[in-house]
Amino acid sequence: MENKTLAQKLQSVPRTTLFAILVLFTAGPLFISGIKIPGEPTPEVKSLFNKLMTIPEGSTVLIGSDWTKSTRGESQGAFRALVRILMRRKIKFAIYTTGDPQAPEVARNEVKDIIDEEKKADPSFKWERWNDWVSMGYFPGAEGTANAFENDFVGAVSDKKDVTPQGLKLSVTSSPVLEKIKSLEDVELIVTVTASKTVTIAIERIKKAPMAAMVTGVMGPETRVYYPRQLMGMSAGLRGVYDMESMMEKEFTDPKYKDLNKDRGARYYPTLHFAIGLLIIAVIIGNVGMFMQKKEEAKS
Amino acid sequence: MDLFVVLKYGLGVVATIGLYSVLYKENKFYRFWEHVFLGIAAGYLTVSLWQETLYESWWLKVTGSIATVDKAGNVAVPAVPGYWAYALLLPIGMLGYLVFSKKHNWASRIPVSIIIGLWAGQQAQAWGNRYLKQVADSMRPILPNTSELFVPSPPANGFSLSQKYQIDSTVYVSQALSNLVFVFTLVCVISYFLFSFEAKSKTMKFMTTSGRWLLMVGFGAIFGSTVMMRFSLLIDQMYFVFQEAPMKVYEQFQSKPAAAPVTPPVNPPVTPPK
Repeated sequence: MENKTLAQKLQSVPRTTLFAILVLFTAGPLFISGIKIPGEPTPEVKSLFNKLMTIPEGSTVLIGSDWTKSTRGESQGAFRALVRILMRRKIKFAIYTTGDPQAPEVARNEVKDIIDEEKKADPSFKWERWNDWVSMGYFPGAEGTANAFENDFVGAVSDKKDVTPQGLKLSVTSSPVLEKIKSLEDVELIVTVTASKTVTIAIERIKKAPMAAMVTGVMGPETRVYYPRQLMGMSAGLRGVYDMESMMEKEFTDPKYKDLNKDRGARYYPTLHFAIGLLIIAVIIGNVGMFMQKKEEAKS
Repeated sequence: MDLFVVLKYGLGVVATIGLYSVLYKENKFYRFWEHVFLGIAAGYLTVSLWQETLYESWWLKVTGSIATVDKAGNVAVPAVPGYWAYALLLPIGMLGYLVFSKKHNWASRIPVSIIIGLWAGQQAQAWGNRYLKQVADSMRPILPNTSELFVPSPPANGFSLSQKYQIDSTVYVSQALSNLVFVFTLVCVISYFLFSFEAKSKTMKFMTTSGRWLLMVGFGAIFGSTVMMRFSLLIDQMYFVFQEAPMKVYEQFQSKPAAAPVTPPVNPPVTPPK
């Protein structure tokens, strides 16, 4: 068997070992609760949160839900934080999708889970499909949909049906959520939770309503250029989710919300630091090995 | 106990482990779950496309719908007549599949040209909405008009309207510095992409080299953000495997069957005293 030098060993750590350590570093910290990451929420997240906290009760917000299980790690936390704030502030919302036909079902299940969790914490909590929120389903073609929303919102969504508490399938335009909405100007805010470019497409075409975005880490850098002129607020990646949740902790101080405020962001963001730490250590070890080997080769 | 929930989460965990097993080496367990995943995704996509889009937005328009009556017998949703002309959209769309025919593939260009025409028509407005505001935002003051370093923090009850106006019209030293970095980066990066003439002067060489370095810094930040996202996805799957799924299954085993509804005791009929 060939005897490896330390420099060679440092550069050839078995892949399986590295993955095993990675699993340890990403699964282990999830069991440690209460790790706080110091730092101030970013201005764009603050701006989004402040807007959500100042929308009048009973108004309507549109949620563009363009994420599925493939980006659950980031988008789910963002969606949950947004929906929780809207529910607690009694702001009605209508969910639509332009990115992926699978997304409406994911969003509906998520809202159902959040309602169950909020009910568990507060038995008097009531949030009813059709009366408080509706799902408008999938609209094929983000470009055409954004144009149609801008020019004739009621006409664009009148085909879409949702289920009433009596079990009837009626047009969403007759629901208490959208019955007063005659144009996009009547909508308080459009928030797009997305893992793709659907927010850019909306920015290019919609001018009648203020917009905000909750995007993944990948989309963060290219979406940030739209703040504050085209987006009045935004959150990007796990950092954005963590910031939203930390502000929710300060705003919703009722003890019944204590555990619910600390959701995906509070769980995943500290764990992410362990994973990034491991990555940095691995890069350093590899580089040290490389320099040692170069030195050895120069000597010989 | 809801067996469906147990099966759903149990199979989810097995599938996740199966898909990650490729990290060890290529194996049949991984291949099996990969095929299951692709099959489910394709099937789900087809069904959801019909249910979420085609059925309501196209099929019901062609066929119309009958009236819906509520429990009381009242008409909740009136009948809607069908408009057969919507059926003509189907052959236009189907022309797209003629791309596979050597003889008739020219016809596939018809639906494509409709889509491109619609898209191209929107581009002037889309471009303006997307970029003009950013161009306007690039015009930033780089000289401070006050000696104060930082933007004042808002008091507990917030700024008054006049204070807000004053702050908005003031360029603080920290803002001016930040704007300077922004404008310098913008100008350098734009000069890097000036290919119309050769950068011979020292100033231009400095600008283009700085532009290249600043682009690298930007790409580095974007790459870092991407890596963080990939880790987030892994962390979420670890949470699913080690916490969410076991918790949900445990809850099912803990849950007791729903108790039978308690019926109030029926009072025996009161017999009037004789």
